[in-house]
This record gives sequence, structure tokens and C-alpha cells, in this order.
Amino acid sequence: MNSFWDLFSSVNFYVTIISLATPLIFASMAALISNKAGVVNISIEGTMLVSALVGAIFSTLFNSAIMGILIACVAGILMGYIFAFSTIKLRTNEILVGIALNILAAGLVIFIVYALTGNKSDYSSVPLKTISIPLLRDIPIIGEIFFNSLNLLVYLAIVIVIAMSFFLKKTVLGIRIRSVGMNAKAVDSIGVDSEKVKIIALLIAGGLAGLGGAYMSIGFMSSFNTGMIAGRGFIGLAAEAIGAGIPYVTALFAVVFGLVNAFSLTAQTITGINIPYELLNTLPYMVTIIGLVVFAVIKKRRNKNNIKG
Amino acid sequence: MAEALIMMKDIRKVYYPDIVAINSATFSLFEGEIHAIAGENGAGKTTLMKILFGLEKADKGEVLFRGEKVFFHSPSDAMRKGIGMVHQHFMLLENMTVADNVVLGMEPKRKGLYDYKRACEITKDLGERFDMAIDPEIKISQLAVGLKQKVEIIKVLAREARIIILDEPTAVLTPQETKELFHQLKLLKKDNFTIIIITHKLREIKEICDRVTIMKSGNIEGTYDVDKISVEEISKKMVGYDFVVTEDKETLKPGEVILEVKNLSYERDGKKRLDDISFKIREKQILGVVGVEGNGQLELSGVLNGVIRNYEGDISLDGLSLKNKSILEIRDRGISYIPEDRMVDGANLIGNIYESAIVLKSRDKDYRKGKFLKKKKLSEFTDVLIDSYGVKCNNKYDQVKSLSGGNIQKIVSAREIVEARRILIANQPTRGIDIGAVMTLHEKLKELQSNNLGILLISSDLKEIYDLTESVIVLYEGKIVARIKNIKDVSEEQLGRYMLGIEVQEDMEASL
Repeated sequence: MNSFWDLFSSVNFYVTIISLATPLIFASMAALISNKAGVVNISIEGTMLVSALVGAIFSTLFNSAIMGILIACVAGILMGYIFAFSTIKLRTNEILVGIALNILAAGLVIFIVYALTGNKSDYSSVPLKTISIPLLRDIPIIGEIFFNSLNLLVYLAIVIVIAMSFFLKKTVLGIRIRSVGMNAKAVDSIGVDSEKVKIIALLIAGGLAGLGGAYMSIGFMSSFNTGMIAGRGFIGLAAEAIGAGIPYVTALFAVVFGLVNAFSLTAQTITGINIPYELLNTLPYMVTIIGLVVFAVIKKRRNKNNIKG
Repeated sequence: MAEALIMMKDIRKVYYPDIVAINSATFSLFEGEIHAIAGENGAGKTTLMKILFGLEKADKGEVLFRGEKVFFHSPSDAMRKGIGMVHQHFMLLENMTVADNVVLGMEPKRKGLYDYKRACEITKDLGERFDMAIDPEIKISQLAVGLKQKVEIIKVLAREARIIILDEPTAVLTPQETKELFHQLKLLKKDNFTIIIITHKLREIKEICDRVTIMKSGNIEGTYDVDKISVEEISKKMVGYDFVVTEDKETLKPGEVILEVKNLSYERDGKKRLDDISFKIREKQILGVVGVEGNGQLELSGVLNGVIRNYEGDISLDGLSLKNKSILEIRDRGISYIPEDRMVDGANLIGNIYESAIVLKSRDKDYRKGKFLKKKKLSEFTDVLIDSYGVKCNNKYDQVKSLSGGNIQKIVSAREIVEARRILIANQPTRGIDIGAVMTLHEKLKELQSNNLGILLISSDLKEIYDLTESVIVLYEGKIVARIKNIKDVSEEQLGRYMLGIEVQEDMEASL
């Protein structure tokens, strides 16, 4: 590639954006539903990592990508349950439990990969096939980007964003989850068990993070690597924070972060540009911090105008 | 009368480790009555009702419902028997609509989904049936306190409660809202609802209740027919000593002007919150500020203590301007401030009493050695405060949160009163606290007054205004609509007309 123009005009670049935004969408939706229930759930990162490995192992075991994804999702729900049980039933601090689970996950996956293969970082999986949709794929540009080279999980991520918005607004459970997040005492006072509602929300979050993890090892790559989540769970949390808890806006920011990620990966291939590779790799995280700061400033300004004298 | 609807027998409740909330209480409730539970803060009223509602478990005793023994393990058990409770601190979801709140936990469904339309209908129907019309689609955060309370009552009615417990329902209401509430309670009584009101306002007991059960330090002092007991007798049984309802205040001659407010205006969000306000406070003077809540009281106290600085006009203390001075500078000049909301601005709820008590004193050079605090001296100081104000606690290291509202208020007030040298601004100093605590505070305010200080008393309790003040200004929409030299010359009704903006005083005396 010779210039930025080449980069921005290539179909591949846009496919990469979508591919890299997908795990962030899963993570941000997990963060969103946790937050709606009033829980700051940083265990999403570790959950994604464990699920990525579980997905890879079971996809090879059953020789089926779909089985791998399903079992990864179950593993995510289990992780969600551990988090929920410790924070809600045992009343431990949710940040500390989150940190503990993330550290546990990081160590656990190395241990398991080593025990199974003898190497300490990789485990190959049965990858998900890309879907090519007849007719739609023939639409110029759009068809090539959206209907020719993506896989099932990408489409599922989009469906989940729409479903999440609907679920929170229109279903009784969704409304109760939001209610618990606003004022758990008020919910308890009318005889609804707020802890149960919270646990359900965290199980859903675990399942979503599990799908995000599975996507990384089965959908995006064809193997598991111990460093492959690389903070995507945390970036999902950031996208949720900037998206102010609105599913569509949150997903939009997940895509923005996906774009930055795609840029940092592909910009290295442009000839004649001398940005060090290490610096480019930090770009997604830098943009996350900048995004959060900008968001905080805007929020502060808005509050200043609303708050009483 | 017939068999009791509810009978609570020999109830005992001890909070961990050894705080006896209820020593032994037996309480009966008849169908269709309005029953007051009266008592000071910390007497055990709310705890007793929480046990009835399944929010707390009794350590001893039993509850009979229509003669049948029942166990309420949670509020849902109580609700199933038709008992509902309106809590003192509302249990509402601020960012949701009225309808959402009303149907929470019993959401109507259509095709498996939440049927918001139906929720609105349910809310509207109930509102109309009980004369509490309220827009179901409005967000709770946009409602005034009185309306929020209505939502709570509709919530209880939607759950088909026949017995409604109201915890201090009028503590946050204006006189007009209280009137409305009583009207609705009477309507409910007509429909054979049974109502329990937890209160310590004697006038309200007299006005609306059929029977009253009086509690004192965890015991029941007795249950009486309201028309057979006088206000004096009730207060005597509540407090244990005679509470004189009307007391002659001694007139002190005001001295030099201490604080002068000149043409004070303050604008926020394009609305004038304070509009050309001028007044003076002299030595030995308690100046009353009355008005329906939200007519500038909060802003006025904010300006005077330095929280709000971008105002127009000038304020001077002993002839020196306070313009652009920080909160600390203003305090150092001798102005103390009892904030309106003790739970938010007054005390650190999760800290202990000692910490909240010394927060001002610890700046004093006599109480510190360089950067370090003289712990022993400050401890003694705290003990003296607790003692002289009669704060009920185990010791000074109790968490503030564990105290009753009246006792928290005593700590906040004590701390401020001790530091006051020229002016004390007291914003709703006795709201929601019991007679005993009110009397203590009133005594202390009078003491300050006779010590040559000036006091600005912002209060929505007119009785307090009549008891303590002589001169009063009335605020309406940020303007002074009446200046009253001697409150005794003005009837409560007339004051009400000023407060509601129905009338503006003719040729206001500018001298005030």
C-alpha cells in the first residue's frame, strides 16, 4: 500500500474494522447490561479470555465451530455466576473480585494450554466459516464489505445490539434490571428480589462476554493465544461509559474503537510511513483514554448547567 | 369494637449487638380507623411498623391478622395480606415515569412484553378513583415532593392494600400539601381502608386520627381515643415531661446592625431565584424567613454562607463586604450555618459522631499542634457536645448513620452553634425531629440570641416562627412579598396568603 488513500479506499480495511469491532460490541453489551443493573463489571476481560480458550478447545474436540461457541458462552455464564455469587451473595467488593477473576483467568489459560499442548501460548481451533450471501454480495462495495467476508458471530453481534435495546425497554425483566440499577431498595420494598435480578443480569453479561471471547479464537482467528483479548474487555467498558448506557450509541463507539484498532494494524503496511510499530499498537488504548476524558468533560459541563446553585 | 384486624403481641426487637429498639410492645388495629403511632425519634415507632410490614424480624412476640397467627418474612408476605407502606424516604425510581413506578413488580403484560399503555391506564384509574390525579407519563424526578408521595400512595393502592402505613407523611410537605393529603386519607377511610400514621406532630393527630398509640423508648405508653385525650397529655406521655405548647417569648431589644443584605439578586437557568432582596439583621434579633419551599430559601442561605458567589448586590457583615469571599473566609468572619439537609450537607453519614463534631473545631489553633490534632482535647469537646445536647448514642464513635434524624441534627446544630460568633443561619433546623430535640434546639437558639448574636431562621414550620421570631420576611418566587415587624399582628391565614403569592403586602416597611 502506498498511501492513506489506498488504505481508506480498500474494501479490506472496512472488513477489518467490522471484524475488530465485533468483540468490542460483545464486551460493551456485557458491560452495558451489568451497568444497567448497577454493577461495575470489570471481570468481562477475564471472562472473554477463558471463553476464548474454552471455545477453541471444544471446537476441536467436537470438530465444530458452533459447538465451541456454545460451550464458550456457557463458560462465560459460569464466570458471570462466580462474579455474581462473590459480589452479591458474599458481598465482596466488585472491583476486587473483578481484578481477582482477571488475574485468575490470565494464569489459568496458560496453565491449561501448557497442560494440553506443552507450549505456553497457542491452541488451534476449528474456525467459523465466513458467510457469503448470494445476490446481496453483488451490491457494489456494500456487498463486498457486509455480505461476502463476515461470519455468523458478526451478524449475531448486530442482532444483539438491537435485541438489547428492545429487551431493556420492552420486557418486564429488562425494566426490572434497569430499576434495580437505579434504586435497588425501591425494588426490594415492593417485594421483588433485587439480588436475583442482578444475578440474572450478570449471567447474561457473562454469556455475552463468552461470545466475545469465542469470536476472538474461533471467528476472528483460527487459534487461541493467551494474549489475544488484549484489553478488549476493558475497551468494551469504555465504549459503554462513553455511550452513556444507550445500546446503539455504545455499539457506535465500539465501532469507533474498532476503527482505531484496524488503523493501527494496517497503517504499518503503508510504505513510506515511519511510525514505529510499537507506537501504533498503543493507539487503541490512547484513543480510549482520550475518549473517556472528552466524555467526562462534556458530562461535567452538562451537569454544571443542571445542578442547583 | 369488634375483633382487632391486627394484633401485635409482646413484640421485642434488639439490634445487634445490644441496642434495644423495642422493649415490649403490644399494639392493636381496628378496621377502618386512622391510627396514629406517636413518639419521639428513636422511640421505636418505625421499627414496630417495619416488623408489621415484614421488613424487620421481631426477636420475640407474635402478629395476629384477623385473629390468625401470621409470619411476615418479607414485604411481599405483608402485601399479600393487604398491608402497604409509604416510607419516609420515598422508594421511587427517579428516572422512570409515574406509571413505571406504580406497576413495578406487578407489570401488566401483553404478548409477553411489558404493556406500558396498560400501566398508564392503571395509574390513571387509581388516581381518579382516589382524587389524586397525576400524569402517568411524567418522570418522577420532575415531581414535587407532595406529588411523589401521591405516587407512593397510588403504588400501595395498586397492590390492593387495605391497610396503609405512612411513615412521617407530612414531614416534607407544605401546609397546603398536608391539607390535600389529609383530604385523601379521609376519602380512603370512607372506603373502609385502615390507615396507620407514624408521626410526632400533635396537631395532626388531633386533626385526623381516631386513636393514638404512644411509644416512648421502646415501650408502649398506651392507646387512646383521640377525642378523649388532650394535646398536652399526649406530649407529656411522649416526652415524659410537660411540653408547653404556647410559650411567651421574652422580647429582647435588638442592638446594632450585624448583617446587611442590599439589593441581592441571583439568577440561574434564566430564572431569577432571588430578586432584589434587602434586609438587615441586628444583634439579639431572630429574623424569620418563611415561604413555600423552593421560593428562594435555599439560594438565600447559599449566598449567605458562600456556596453561591455569582450574585448581584452586596452583603456586608459589621460593615465589611462579604462579596467574593470563600466559605471559609465567611465562616472566619463569624457566620455559622445549619444546612437544610443534614443527611447530605450536614454530616458525614458513614463517619462517626466524633468526626462530624470536630470538623470546625479542628481548625482552631488551641486544638492542634502544627499539622497534628490534639485528640484528647477534641474528644473532650465532643463529649461535652453530646452531653449538653443530649445526643442519644452509645459513645462518640457510633456511626452517624446509625442515629435517628433528631440526633444527627443535634450534632450538626451543636457544632455550628458553638462556632457562631456573629450570625447563625439556620435552614429548617428542626424539620422531621422530635419535640424533645426541637426544644433543646430552640433553647440553644434563644441562648445565642441573648448573647448578642443575630439569627436568620428559615423555616416552613409556622409554629416555630411564631415561637421564636418577632420580625419576619416572606419570600415568594425569590422576592420579598411581605415584611412583618411583629409576627403577632399577623394571622397564620394572612401569612399563608403571602406565602402563596395571593397577596403582596402594601407599603412594605423598608426598615427591616
